[in-house]
Amino acid sequence: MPAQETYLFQQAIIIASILLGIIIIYFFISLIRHQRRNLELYRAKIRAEITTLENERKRIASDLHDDVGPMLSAIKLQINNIDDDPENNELMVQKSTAQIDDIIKRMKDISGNLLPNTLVRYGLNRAVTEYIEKMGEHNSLAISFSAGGDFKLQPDQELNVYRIIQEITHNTLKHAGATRLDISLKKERQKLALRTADNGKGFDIDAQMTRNAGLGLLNLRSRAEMLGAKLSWTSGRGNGTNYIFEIPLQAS
Amino acid sequence: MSETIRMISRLSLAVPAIAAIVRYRSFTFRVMPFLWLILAGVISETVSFYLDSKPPGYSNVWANFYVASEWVLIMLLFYRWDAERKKYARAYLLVCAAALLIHITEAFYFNRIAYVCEVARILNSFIICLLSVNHINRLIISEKKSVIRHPEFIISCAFVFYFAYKVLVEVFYMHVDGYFNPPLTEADRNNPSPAYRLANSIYSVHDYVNTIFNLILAYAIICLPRKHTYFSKP
Repeated sequence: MPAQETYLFQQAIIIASILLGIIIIYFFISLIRHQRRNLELYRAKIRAEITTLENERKRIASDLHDDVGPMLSAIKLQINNIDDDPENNELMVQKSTAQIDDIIKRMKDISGNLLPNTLVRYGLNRAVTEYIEKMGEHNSLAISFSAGGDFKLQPDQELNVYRIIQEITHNTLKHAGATRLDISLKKERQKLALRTADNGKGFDIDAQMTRNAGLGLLNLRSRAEMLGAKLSWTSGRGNGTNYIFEIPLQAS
Repeated sequence: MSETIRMISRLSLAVPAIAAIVRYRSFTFRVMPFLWLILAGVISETVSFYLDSKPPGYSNVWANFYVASEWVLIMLLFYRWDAERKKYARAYLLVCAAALLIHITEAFYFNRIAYVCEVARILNSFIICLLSVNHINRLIISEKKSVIRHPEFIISCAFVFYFAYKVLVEVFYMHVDGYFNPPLTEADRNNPSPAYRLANSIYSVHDYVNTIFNLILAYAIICLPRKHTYFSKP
């Protein structure tokens, strides 16, 4: 080979090797980068789960301390003040009975917030219907719920779906500024599709899901993973937010 | 035989094209540039068939135009796949514009419009490889399910396979086919040097690589999930 051609040939091999080498090195660099990012996200999810648990415990403690505790103290005071006057005692008993009724109601509310009795006794559809009726009483958000198809979920699946609906409703109320939220639960082939759509202000959901995701979104992802469900979404500024959870149903 | 292989390679684009027509409704916002890429490929091959009967300069001009449009569409595809695209929008635009500028400079300023613009092709192929590798790694790490049927993973693997090979081919051809030397004469082509023979050997598998690339793209289209209906009234 002429000298110049040899030189150019060697140059070609060097350049090709360098470029392919860069691609291989970049493969490892980007793998490590993504793994680190995923680890951060995983830690954020664990933190979110623990934070949610701790917040729930705080709420229960607060409810018991601020509501039930003083009522029980008041009843105890009244019982200690029982004397020989029957008329006074009659009044004390009536007051204490009313307060005990309040305590029972309050305990039912606290227990219902932890795990609705309706969910355990009557199933998911009725529990969700009751929940959204209750939410609709105190807020301006119009929530609609529809369920279709004959499906049967395991108790833990029902609980997770219920929590997902609670989380989405809560997020919509807190952040979306929406006036309407539609929820649908429908059996589609061997999957149960949970769809939600609101007409709120929307947000950059891709960026939220990739890094520094909010507590609510991380919880949704965790719930979806626990169900083995596929989570899809669309959202955008001014376009509302839509979620789909495709939950695999076990073959009967 | 080589003409037969070449024809099969060119016609293999029909496989993803037919798959795209059949699964047209599955193309969402995220993968729409991929559909346009297939369409651009079909148009390019159709025009190339016609230009085969013309002097080589015509087909090179058309090829340069196609390479530029392929670059823009692939950059758009990766931009749509990037979950943090709003953060990196300017970077994508800058890289895309810079590569196009290099291509235009090479084509018009260095008078290579009627020849193959190797520098632009090497640069484009190299960047596409890097973006594909990045996306493959992102999916491997973050996907909870098997990636083997994930269309973005399959497309990215196809891009790495094809464009890494293209980098190799273009680097060798740049050095042996007149970029630094005077253009090869007919005598040179009839009695090629060892370097030229090696470059030709590397290029000889192009038809096979191209066919496999098209088949992988067809598989990616088959794996596209059905479009979601986000909310349907009961």
